[in-house]
Amino acid sequence: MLGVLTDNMPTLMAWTQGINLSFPILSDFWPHGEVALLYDVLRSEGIAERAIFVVDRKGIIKYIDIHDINEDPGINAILRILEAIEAK
Amino acid sequence: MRSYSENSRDTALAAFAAWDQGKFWAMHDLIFDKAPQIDRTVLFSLAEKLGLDMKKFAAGMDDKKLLDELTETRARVRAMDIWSTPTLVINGKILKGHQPFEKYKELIDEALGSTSEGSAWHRASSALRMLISPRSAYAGKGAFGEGRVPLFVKAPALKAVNALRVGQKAPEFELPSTHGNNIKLSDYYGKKNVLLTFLPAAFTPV
Repeated sequence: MLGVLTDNMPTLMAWTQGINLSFPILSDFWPHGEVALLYDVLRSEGIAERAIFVVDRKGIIKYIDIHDINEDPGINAILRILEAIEAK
Repeated sequence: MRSYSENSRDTALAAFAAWDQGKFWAMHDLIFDKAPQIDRTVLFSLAEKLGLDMKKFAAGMDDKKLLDELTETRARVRAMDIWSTPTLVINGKILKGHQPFEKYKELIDEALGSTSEGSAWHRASSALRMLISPRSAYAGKGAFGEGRVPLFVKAPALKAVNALRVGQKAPEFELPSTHGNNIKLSDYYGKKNVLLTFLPAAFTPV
């Protein structure tokens, strides 16, 4: 699992040190939002959508969810996605 | 006891001395870990911890030219009546202390005379909003439960460039990670499925 944000690294370090995440968070700060733009999830205000992509071992996109930005997708949604992929 | 400003001066010198040996950020982080218990002795011990060339570091700490530069900058800033952090100077106007986002926006708008959606300024102002008050922007009631309001208003998405669909190859990228290394999507090829999550901003729910 990887998280991508357009925040700069010091901000991300301060944040992740506070919440003890087990997976890496990537900083898409400069060139600003380059990767978010590549995945069509960069908003005009310079931040990324709340989006989930599942990419399989061959690098193929298996699932795309661009979520309501103000809504927490929750861990259950993510678990359902993973179960669906494992089942295939 | 030495004054606060003497310690600030020595801390700045130590950061520059570390910079000369390519360790500015490492020193910066150690200093912030130690703060506010910082003095000359502590700074030397941090330099030692970083494995710096101590002879060069000591010379940097007593660099007359750099010291003069710092003293001069300080005098210039004082002459502008700037005494506190954070202070922002926008187009000659001074904004002191922690101010609400609108105050910054007002001054920057005034300076630029433009706020069109999608402009470089529009992006920068959003980034600034995040930097200034990621938490205070969140106070209230709303989507994430008691005591929270939606942080983000509806903003148009930028034009889809790639129009990605399920079944397509995921675009390759390489980004710096909080685990200290750069991560490429292709690092996981043949090894792991990747759940790639994009999030709007730090300090918001994951």
